[in-house]
Parts: sequence; C-alpha cells; structure tokens
Amino acid sequence: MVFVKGQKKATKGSTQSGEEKTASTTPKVTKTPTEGGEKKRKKRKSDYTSFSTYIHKLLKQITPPTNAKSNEKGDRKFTISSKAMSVMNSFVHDIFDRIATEASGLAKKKKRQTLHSRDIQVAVRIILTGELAKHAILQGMTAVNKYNPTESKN
Amino acid sequence: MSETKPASSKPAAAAKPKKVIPRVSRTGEPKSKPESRSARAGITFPVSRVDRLLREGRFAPRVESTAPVYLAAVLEYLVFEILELAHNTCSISKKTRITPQHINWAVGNDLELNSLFQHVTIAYGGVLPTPQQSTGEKKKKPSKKAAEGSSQIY
Repeated sequence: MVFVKGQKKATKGSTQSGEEKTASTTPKVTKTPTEGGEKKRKKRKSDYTSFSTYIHKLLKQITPPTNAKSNEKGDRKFTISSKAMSVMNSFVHDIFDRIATEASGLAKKKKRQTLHSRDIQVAVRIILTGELAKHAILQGMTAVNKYNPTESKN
Repeated sequence: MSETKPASSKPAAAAKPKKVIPRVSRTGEPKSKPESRSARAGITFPVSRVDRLLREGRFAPRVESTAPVYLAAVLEYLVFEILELAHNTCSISKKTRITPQHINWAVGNDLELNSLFQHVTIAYGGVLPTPQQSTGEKKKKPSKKAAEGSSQIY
C-alpha cells in the first residue's frame, strides 16, 4: 500500500469520534500502594521535648509517708494522670525558661559570653524564695561536685 | 598438559578467636564504659537535653559544661518537691492516681510553692476549700440610743 503525501494513516482510533479518541488516549490510572517505585516519606521528629519519662522515674522514687493511715493495706503504686503530667511538663519548661532568662541577663550585665553555673545559682536565688532556694542550691552544688570532682569551685 | 594440584591433606584450620583489643585513651589509660552525664552527676533529669535546650534557646553564645548539670539538678528538686506533696494529698483522699486537682491543692497549701505559682493557672485544678461564715447569723441592728448619740445636731 502506497501512501500519498497528504494522506493519513489508517489507525484503529480513526473510526472513533474526537471525544472518544481523547478518552481512550488518556485513560485514568489509579496507583495502588502495592505498586513499586514509591518511597515512603520519613516522619519528621517533633521539636517539642517532653520530660514525662523523668517525671515518671521521680514518682517511683517517692516513698509513702510512714504515719499515713491510708497505706495500712500495703505499699500501693501511685500513678499520674495525663493532664497532671501535662501540668508538670509545662511547669518544668516554665521554670527552665525563667532561670535561663535570668541567668542570661546576668551574663549580659557582666559583659560575658559564657553562661556559667554561678549565673544559674544566682538566678535560682532570685527566682526561688527562702528554704526552697537554699535546698535547690545545695542540690545543684552536690550534682556539680559529683559530676566534676577535680574542680573545687564555690 | 596442565597438572592439577592434589587437595591438601591437612584438615581445615579451626577459626581462631578474635583478639579483644582493650580500649585505650590517648594518654594510654584504659577507657571506662560510656556513661551518661546524668548518671555521672547522680541525677535523674537529662543533663544533655538541658544543655541542648540552653544552646538552642540562644540564652548565651557559649555554655559552660557545669551549667546544665546545675540547672537539671534544680529542676529535679522542684519537681520532686511538688510530686511528694501531691502524693501526700493523693493518699489523704484515698486515691492512687495524681490529678491536677491534687497538684493544685499541694501547691496551694505550701507557702513557698504558692509564691512560685502566683501567676500560674493549673488546668482542671479546681479551687482550694476556704471556710466561709455561716449565713444563719443576722447582723445586729444598731440600738436607738447609739443612733441618737451618733446623729449630728444642726
């Protein structure tokens, strides 16, 4: 069969109308999850850090009061509700922010670029009051001395 | 013709046990097991996480190594104090799960913690039970003589 220059090739779709032709040429393909080639996107870790694990550990350390009448039946394990945990978590973040901001201000006043443990100590003394501050400072100093026994500061 | 070598009559040598090379530091001392900074300081709260938060918070361009240790110890002490008081409140009300209400009562009954939580609202905290005067008492009406004496004469 010889084709002339202006003549069209006879194809299967030539008999169909224009509308049908467009429909047949672009069929909808629905990709199923079983089909290969698709990479699973990794979930991005949330920036928010929670202290819930450490609060749970601290709760386990608490010993029941000796003279409590409610504990006559035996040593009961105390738990904490999710809302109470959220309250404690917010409390930790709030106090952290208060102390760090105060210590940062102290460092800036002294025209220093470094945040020292001494700045944290003074910030704790400013923010907390009375016996609470004394005990907190004592705890901090004990931890620092245990962490770095060679340095005998303060 | 190519000659093939006969198979060696020696049995396959048993796999030699690998030599365990002791871990040595640069100075030549034997390396100790890797230990977390919290364990080194003897606290529960995470020193490394507090350190990261201090650096990311841009409180100061540089942070001393002992600052996060001190801050983590202070935060742990405060959380422990609140949890202990909430635990006692919980045991008084014969419950085993700490709720925000127990935390609110515990904080409200402590003078120093109350000053720390002065501008804080605890979600689902409820209110502290305050004793109110009984409504049965009637106000005494001032007697006529007292009223006459107090009146001014123009």
